[in-house]
Amino acid sequence: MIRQLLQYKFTLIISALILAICVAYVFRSESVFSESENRYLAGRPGMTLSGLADGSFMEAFELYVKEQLPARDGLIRLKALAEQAQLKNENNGIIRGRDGYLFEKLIRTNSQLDRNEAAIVRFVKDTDREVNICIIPNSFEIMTDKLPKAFPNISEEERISDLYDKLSGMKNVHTINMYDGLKAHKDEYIYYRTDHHWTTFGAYYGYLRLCDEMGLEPVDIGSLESIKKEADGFFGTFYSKYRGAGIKPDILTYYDIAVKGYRAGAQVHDSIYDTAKLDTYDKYAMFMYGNEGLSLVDSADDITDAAGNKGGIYGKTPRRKELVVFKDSYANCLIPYLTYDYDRLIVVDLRYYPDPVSGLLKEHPDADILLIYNFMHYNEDNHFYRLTS
Amino acid sequence: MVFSSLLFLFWFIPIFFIVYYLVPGKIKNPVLFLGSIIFYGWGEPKYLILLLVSITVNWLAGILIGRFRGRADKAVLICAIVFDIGMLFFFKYINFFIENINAVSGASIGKVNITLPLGISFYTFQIMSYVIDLYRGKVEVEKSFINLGTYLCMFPQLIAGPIVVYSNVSQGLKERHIGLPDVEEGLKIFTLGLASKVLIANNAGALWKELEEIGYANLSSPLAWLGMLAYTLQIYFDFNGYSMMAIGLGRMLGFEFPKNFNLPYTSLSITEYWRRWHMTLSGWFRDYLYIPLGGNRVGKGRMVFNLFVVWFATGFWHGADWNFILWGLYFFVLLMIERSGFKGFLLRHKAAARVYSLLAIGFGWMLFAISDLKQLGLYLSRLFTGGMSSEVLFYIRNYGFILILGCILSSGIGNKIYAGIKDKAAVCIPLLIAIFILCVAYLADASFNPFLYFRF
Repeated sequence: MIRQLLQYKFTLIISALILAICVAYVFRSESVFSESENRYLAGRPGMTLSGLADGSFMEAFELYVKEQLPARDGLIRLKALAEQAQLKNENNGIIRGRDGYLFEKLIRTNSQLDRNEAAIVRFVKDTDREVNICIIPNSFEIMTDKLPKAFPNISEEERISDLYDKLSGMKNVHTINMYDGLKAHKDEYIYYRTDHHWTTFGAYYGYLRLCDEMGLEPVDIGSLESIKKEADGFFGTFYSKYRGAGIKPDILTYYDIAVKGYRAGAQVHDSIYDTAKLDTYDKYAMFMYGNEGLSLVDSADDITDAAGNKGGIYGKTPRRKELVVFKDSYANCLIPYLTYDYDRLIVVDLRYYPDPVSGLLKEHPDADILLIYNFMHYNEDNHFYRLTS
Repeated sequence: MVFSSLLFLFWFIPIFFIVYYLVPGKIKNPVLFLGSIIFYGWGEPKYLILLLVSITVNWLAGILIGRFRGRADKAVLICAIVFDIGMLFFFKYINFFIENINAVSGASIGKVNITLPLGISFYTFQIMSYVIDLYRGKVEVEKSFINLGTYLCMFPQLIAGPIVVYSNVSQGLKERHIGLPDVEEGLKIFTLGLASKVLIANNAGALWKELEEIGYANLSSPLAWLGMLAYTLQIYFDFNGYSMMAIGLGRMLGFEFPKNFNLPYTSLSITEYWRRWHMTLSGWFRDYLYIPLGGNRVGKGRMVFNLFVVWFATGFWHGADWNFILWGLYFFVLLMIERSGFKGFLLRHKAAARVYSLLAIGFGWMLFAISDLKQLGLYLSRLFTGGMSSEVLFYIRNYGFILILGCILSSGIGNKIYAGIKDKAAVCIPLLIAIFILCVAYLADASFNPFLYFRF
């Protein structure tokens, strides 16, 4: 019998493989959190009669089977390598450019974009206060030297101009174009290679543009050199999707800018940096402790110089009082710079802020207002309606 | 449930086959019946009832045909056929007719809120083959409800074919031998079918899906042609992959299912193509529609009419929409042209015949793939007036390998290579294992794994 079985090696090996995986599903402890994908994986659902009847149990079970597949991470990596072996420069919507740069693929805009455009226009119309608006282009728009040949993406610039054009007739709005300011530095390390964010340097050039347009006096980056900190080994969100071979990690830089106090949601911190995150996969979450619905930054105290002149902490013109920022995670590494220009920053992430925006603005009647979003967020996110609700 | 899923591979297969192989012969059919019910009910619990009703009605009809042989058997057969076609008509076509009646007459009949029951077109045709063949005296009455249910529900061919007629498996349903060589061979065929679907069809199909996203209005000419090639390969490797998986699983269960595809893209005419493409469907239409209508033993005018009916039905079977009817009639026209002398030309000019056949097939697939006739027109116009654009290079780079591989394999070279290494275990087995693991890897990270037959 055994000898006979051994003649059928393929059956033997495949059966063993299938059985081993099946047994592993049943007995292995489930991995709950995927570091490389930065999310919780689905566990085995409980069987209920109603779940069986409406099919929700089956759906949940299929998700569980997919997410808890034994050796899932290795298999995903294997698929990435197999894609690469076919000379593809794309995997899971991430396109590989030159010098290890990864870019997201964008071959059409989302239908959400039109709604978001309308929501912003309505917001500006409905308020009589001055609003500063800035849509930040993503890396592929700026780092054009790093793109592969025949890059298929559409232009973000056209859609940003569409928005700015629609706003151009209104008196109380100030649109801020980032293109020239960023493109002038496209040879520098202004976007991460493996992550969808801009770097702390990119954010600085963005900050310079804001200062220019909003009449602020920027802090000199050279003066921050002494508090510059670095963390290496950063693999970002692009890499978690791409997973191909030969991609070097990024270096995350931050300037350890002190604040008087920082309240992120219900938590109170004495720094705006969550340095514990630097030891995890999702290093970018160290800025501002990630995304919170509402956070308040109280800037460090002003300095009075020998002559008795009061100024910003580096002795600049006195700061303005308050700025309300509506933002996504791109702004998290830019906001530290703004502490040099404002006493207090009220930072709103609409995804996690269900309260009426009008109420918040009433509480801060003299605050400046800034809307700053990266294009992808503007293209996809469906919380812009909260600006006017 | 679908074959190309981790759930099927690592839960359904091990649990089902262990039970199936362990139970004694007499209980194998009930186990297979039950397993198939779970397989079908997993995704479509509410339509299980429909399937069971269909079995019950046709099982009773079979018994009645046997009992009233020579007296009322024809009446029973007609009732059964009316019931089967009626079910198919109601669940698949009713909204199509309502829509068109509304459009023509300006009426506003409300649509019926139903989704198409998975596999209904396949299992309706299969069960009709039983009652019709029974009436014709080709097969005997199946007294056992379990056996008939097992035949109809058998999970390998339930949702996407091949269309196994009852006479193919009636013997096996009563008694079958399952040997290790069958299991080994079946598993190999299954693995190749899985690879065909997961590695080739899904990856070629991803290009087609991208073109939909870009929007046909934005396609350059070369990209439109590339898309046509991609879809042509996707549908073949998807459908043939499903058939191969079904045939392999059938073999592992102890059944011999008929072959469904025989290198259709090597055809030198459309006449030949339809002898190689979805052979069990064309066979069904021949045996249960064309021949009953009189086939070609009738006057010329009547024969043309018969062919027209068959191709109209073939198109309509694939989906309740005008483009599918158009697709069927498109082949009717081509076949008529070939019959009226063009075939002779094709026989003499092989190279031209190949180009003509592939182009005709490719255009056909565009009719099939794009249901919106306006969009279809747009796509076809982009093929010729889309102009050039450099971004096609991106798509050539990213899909070139898979498209070339697909072309090579659909030319039959793959089959020849496989035939050559089949008996060299040291080459064949490691290769098949690597292919299997690669399929699992692609399923583990599958962003695109469509099921194409939900409209059938």
